[in-house]
Amino acid sequence: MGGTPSIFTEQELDDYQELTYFTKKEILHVHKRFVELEQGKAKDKNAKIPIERIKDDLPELKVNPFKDRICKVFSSSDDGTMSFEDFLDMMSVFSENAPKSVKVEYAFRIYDFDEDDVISSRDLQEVVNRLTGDQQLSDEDMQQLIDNIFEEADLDDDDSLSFAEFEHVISKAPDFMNSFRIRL
Amino acid sequence: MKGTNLSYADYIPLPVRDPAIMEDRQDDVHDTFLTDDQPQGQSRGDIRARHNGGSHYQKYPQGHHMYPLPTQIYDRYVDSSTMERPPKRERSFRHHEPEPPSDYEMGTNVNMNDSQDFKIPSFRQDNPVATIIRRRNASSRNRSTIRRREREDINDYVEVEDNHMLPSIQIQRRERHKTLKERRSSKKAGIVVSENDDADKAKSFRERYAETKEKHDITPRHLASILRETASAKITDWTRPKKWDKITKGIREFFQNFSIWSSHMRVIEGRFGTAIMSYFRFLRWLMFLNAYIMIIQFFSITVPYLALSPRTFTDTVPPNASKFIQDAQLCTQNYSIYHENNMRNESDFQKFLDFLLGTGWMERTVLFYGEYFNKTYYMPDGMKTYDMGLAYLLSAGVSFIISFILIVKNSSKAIKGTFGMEKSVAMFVNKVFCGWDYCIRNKKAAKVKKKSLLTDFRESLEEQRKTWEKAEESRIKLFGIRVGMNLLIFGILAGALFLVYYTTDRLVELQKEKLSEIVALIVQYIPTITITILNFIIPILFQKIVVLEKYSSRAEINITLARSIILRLASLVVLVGTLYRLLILGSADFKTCGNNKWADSTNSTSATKGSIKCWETYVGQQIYKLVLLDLIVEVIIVVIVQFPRRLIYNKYQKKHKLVQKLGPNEFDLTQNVIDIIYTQTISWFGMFFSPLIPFITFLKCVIFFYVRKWTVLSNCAPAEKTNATSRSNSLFMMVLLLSFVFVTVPIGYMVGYVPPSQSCGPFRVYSDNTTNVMFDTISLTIKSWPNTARDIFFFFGTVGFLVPVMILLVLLMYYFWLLGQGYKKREQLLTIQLKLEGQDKKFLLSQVNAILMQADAGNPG
Repeated sequence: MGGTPSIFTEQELDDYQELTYFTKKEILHVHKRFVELEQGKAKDKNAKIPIERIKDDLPELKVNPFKDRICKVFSSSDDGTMSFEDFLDMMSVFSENAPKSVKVEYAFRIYDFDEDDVISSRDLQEVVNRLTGDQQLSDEDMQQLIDNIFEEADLDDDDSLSFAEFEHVISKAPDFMNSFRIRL
Repeated sequence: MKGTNLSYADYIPLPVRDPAIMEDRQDDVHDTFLTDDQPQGQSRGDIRARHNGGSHYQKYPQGHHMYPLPTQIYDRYVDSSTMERPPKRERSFRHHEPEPPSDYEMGTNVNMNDSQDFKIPSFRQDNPVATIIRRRNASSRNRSTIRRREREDINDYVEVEDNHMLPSIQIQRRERHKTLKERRSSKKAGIVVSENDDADKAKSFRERYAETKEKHDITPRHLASILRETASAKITDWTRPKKWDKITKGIREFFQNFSIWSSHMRVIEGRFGTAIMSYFRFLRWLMFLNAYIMIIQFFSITVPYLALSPRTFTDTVPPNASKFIQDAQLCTQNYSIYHENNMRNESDFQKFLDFLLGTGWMERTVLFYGEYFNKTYYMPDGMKTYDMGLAYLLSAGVSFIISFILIVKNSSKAIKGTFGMEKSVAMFVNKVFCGWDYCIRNKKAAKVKKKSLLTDFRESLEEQRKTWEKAEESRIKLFGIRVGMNLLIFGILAGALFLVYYTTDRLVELQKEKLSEIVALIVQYIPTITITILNFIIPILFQKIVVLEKYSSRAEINITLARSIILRLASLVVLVGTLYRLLILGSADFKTCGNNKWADSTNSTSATKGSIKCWETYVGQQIYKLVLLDLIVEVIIVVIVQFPRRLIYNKYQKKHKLVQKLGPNEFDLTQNVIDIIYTQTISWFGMFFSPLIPFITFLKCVIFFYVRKWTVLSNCAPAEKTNATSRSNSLFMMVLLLSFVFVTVPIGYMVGYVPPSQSCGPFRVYSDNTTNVMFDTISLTIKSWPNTARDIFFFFGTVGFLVPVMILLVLLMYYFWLLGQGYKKREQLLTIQLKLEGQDKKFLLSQVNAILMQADAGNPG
């Protein structure tokens, strides 16, 4: 590992291990990837990386249609940068060991584009449009799709999904745990 | 107010949506954020009405927005109170924005005309009362639409008190939005005040309330803070037991040292998504399973056999041995003379053939059952016998049990998430919210994924529209086609199985004739080649046929899978059945040394060509051939079919239409899974007859992994049809479990009922040709135990023990079934309750509105 362990004190590593879903080894690995993103410039543990760098240089995020949302959700400061802790938090949520409840929370925030704490039909439309890329569904198909989703998930008929509704319906979506995951 | 006695229902026939909310939805479209060219005003009901034609939705008139359950609820409210019509916000305030034409508008305009004489307060940002009304009235989404305009910053969101949200939502939100840094600092703080915290947590709302009341007067502000404290105490975040957490993490860290191939998996996942990756994970899992079995077999059978003395079976036979053992010795000698005669003038080429066939020099090695016999080892206090038969049975048993436990463990992991929800799966939510594989790293893969998602959406929506139509006559036609196709498939299956039977049957006959080496090799391999070819060709046929039957794409995959599995297992069943008929059935009189086909002459090689002197080894050889051929075919298909196909496709895809139509290779997940499960099935089946087969299978898994990885990464294009990962994963396990059961039955039967050969194998000393079976080894061992141990053991086998245990198990099963039913019912109740609460909320809000309106009407201006 060559010197990397010395960046963090034992206490810090313990803390991180307790607060994330990673083992110490994995945390160091995450840090390695973090440092690589900045071409080794940001060896300091408090260094911050511009969001653009993470968005465009982390291969998983680079092709992800929701990359801007992901970075926004996980960035704790509002100055367009991400600290190592933010990055670690992100990788921890996306890791294989994070429980469903945690993943659902972040998924909800990622898909809630206008950040109003509900997923409205416009949020849904945005999600679908981003998923399908350049070609888009016809208006009619889109409406039918959104109607179907509300039919399945919108329990109180207010044409939007609250977090509770979202959590409930995700428990019926068997692919969630497999798809909402980034391998370290 | 005039005309206000009319009930709610009179204005809006069967309304479910609050009209105000519906309008909110419309004007939200114009708020910001999206391009506005989608007609948003259409509601769900409209779309469905438009598509349904003659379906069951027709009982509701077109253009209305209703769902059965909520309608009833509303009716109940409406009946019980003649309530005033809920106010509609004046439409003029958004007249400056162009309206998209919509069916809904047409529906509500009528209502608007009816209620011209309402004085409706207009909505203005600067009118505080109206603002509150609007905020309370509108769905929660709208609340923050306004707030979003006010502040864009999410951080402000968390920090600034937002009085417009329910306390519970505020708190939940604050907890959810905690970053790692905040969690860390709160953790540190938690250490200091942990004692305090505990005491604080225990307080109920009532206690807090009383406490506050003593200190101050209760104001709404105080009440709110008490509520918040109580709620936040209830929300437990990051409260897993620390020690346990540390231990599990430690274990994980330890096992991470052994995890292999994860970088390969990452590459595959990045280019092909999780579904394909799950195949490789399955392959790796099987490799580990075989490794465990291999280790067990190695250390309980092969290693002791090679390490201990004596060298030959005859040396183990003491001079004053029983009749059984002397018989066995005779038979063994007979077998070895026969074998040596056969081996005497073998050329080098023949020796190579022997390697492929498991005959000749291979036959009497540790590879096969026949070679093993009891060994002795020396202790300080004398000689002891290593009971090879016992070791053989136990290691097989342990291997099977380990396989079973691992399968169940793995499938329970897969099933936990999906079991019992086949019917209630939220299909479209799954498609949209779980559509993107976050692990995709490759640009091209991302492009393909987007395209496949688009087609998937379109197809499933199309399918849904089709089910709404339900054309009768075409269904009858379709039914006819399906019946016809099923008959055809039945025919194909029967034909294929007959072919397997015929070739295996003929093999034994053909063996007797004198043939040239090559022909002999081909003849030997005919049944296995037949099976392999059938397994290769017929699934392709199935895939073509299933398209004609016009199932939904999901059913299509499942049906093809089921048929292919039936083919695979059935061909193995026929092979086993034929072997059973040839080797074991038959009257005992004609048996020599436990073998049916024991041709009794020891001097001439040609006359004894077709004789089988050790049927267990013979079965082992057949399976060895299957294992070997399976490996060769897999590799050959990659080299001869997939690799050239890729080259041809790359070179000619633009020039020839045929090539373009054929397309690039795609990784056919289900077929590949069946292949690998088949491999594992033979491995289990052969384990008993050839203890080293798990080792071969282990190597095979490794080879497969690399070959497959290479071909996937370099020869295949990502498939455009999506595979659902979760389902496939539990499906793999179900199929594997099925083939496991399929294997254990014949093996168990053989151990319990079939007399073993006297000429070979670890059980020859127990066999008396007719009655003794392999299981006797265990009975004999138990009989030699001290009395109490023996009695306890035999007690487990008596009816007095088994019947109560069975009853207990059945009762337990019934209990858990009941429990499951209970949870199901509870879930339904809660869902209904949630729905009702939503309705209640809306109803109350509309009432509040009505009151405020009245107040407004009372003092206008």
